[in-house]
Amino acid sequence: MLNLLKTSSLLIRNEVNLINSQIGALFHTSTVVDAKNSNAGHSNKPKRFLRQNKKIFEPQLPDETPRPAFVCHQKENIRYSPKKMWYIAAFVRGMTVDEAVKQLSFQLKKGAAAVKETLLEAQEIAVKQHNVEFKSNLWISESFVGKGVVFKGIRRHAKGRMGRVEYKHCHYFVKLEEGTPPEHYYLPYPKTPEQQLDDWMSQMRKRKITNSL
Amino acid sequence: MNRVINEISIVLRQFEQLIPVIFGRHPFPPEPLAVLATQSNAFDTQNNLKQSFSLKDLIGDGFLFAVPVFRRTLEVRKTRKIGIPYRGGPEGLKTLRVKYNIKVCDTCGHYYEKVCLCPNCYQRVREETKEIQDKIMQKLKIDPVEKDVIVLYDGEKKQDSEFWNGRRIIEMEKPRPQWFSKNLMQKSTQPNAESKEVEVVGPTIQVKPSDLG
Repeated sequence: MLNLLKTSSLLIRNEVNLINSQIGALFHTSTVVDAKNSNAGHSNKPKRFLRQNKKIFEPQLPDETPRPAFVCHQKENIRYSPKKMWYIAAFVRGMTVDEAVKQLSFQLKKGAAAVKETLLEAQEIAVKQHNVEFKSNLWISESFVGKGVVFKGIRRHAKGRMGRVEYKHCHYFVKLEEGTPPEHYYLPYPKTPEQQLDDWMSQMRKRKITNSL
Repeated sequence: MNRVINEISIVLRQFEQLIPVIFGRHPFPPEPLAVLATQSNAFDTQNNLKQSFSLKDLIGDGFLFAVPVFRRTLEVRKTRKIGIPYRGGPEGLKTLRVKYNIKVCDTCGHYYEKVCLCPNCYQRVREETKEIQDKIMQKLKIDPVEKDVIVLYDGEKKQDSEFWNGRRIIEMEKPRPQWFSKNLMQKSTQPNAESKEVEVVGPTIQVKPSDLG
């Protein structure tokens, strides 16, 4: 309703062409407005996630468990809705890279192709720059989506009404870690009867009569 | 500006009649309608149409219909996003599902779904078929099909015309592909017997191992 008010008031107030240069460009095929050449030349890409790659850790003590190698990679401004991309990002969490790539090849989703590409790129970077020995020994420890640039446009409806069209983009972030993936990515996970018994026993043993010895 | 106002006034007069049609889906209160039909301030014959008119005058109390009143809780939002297992069938869960029917092709080593053919192998067959079809078009054009077409590759002997029984021959200027055995072109069906008498069937065409691709 509010949209209707806005657009109709615009119509009445201004007989002149409402369509701004961006949308005009969309209708005319001569100049393509895409996520790369918008925002007056300077990049609107997220940078914080990739800074993790540059972090240098202290040398570890010989008795410490070795810290697994990791690589952070991202793909910006994929022409896909973030809401829809979430399903693919969530699907791939906790899988090995090979398994993820194999499964994504058979998922009939537009974003699946972009995610698969990102994973393969990340795998390559891990081997070349992050001292990963075997490219198959990687699993997806983090996989999430961010909102990218949104271009707005207008479309016609019946009876002279106008609607807003949003050309949404998303960023896809992935962090690969060396090693085998954990049994369960999320908590709480379904426990076996033995595990449940152990938990119960430890709970029972923690009990104390207050102010007793 | 005036032109726009005049146009709108015409449209609005028609709009009066069309209101039940337009807002047919929503339970539209009678009051605004009655106001519009009887009083019709906006369309007074004595006054000209007001310079400023608002959508609120037009639609009245129905202006903010279908607007959310309460914030959706996190539980509701999560349920909408993820779904509920087995509600309304196995498609109750909206998350993507892992496919367990992916196999490795024996011939080419690519992945394929058990339900389908290996896309890599099939692509290879399609390319070869296209070449054969192009050759057939080149040589035989679009003559009516009366006899079978025999495809011969490099180094395959042309036998005497009696053997071919009037079938048309296409010669490909390339060696026979490894995977395309002659055995494939043998017919699996037989024509119906002409007489009911049991005939002593002569020796059938034996395909010797040397003739196999």
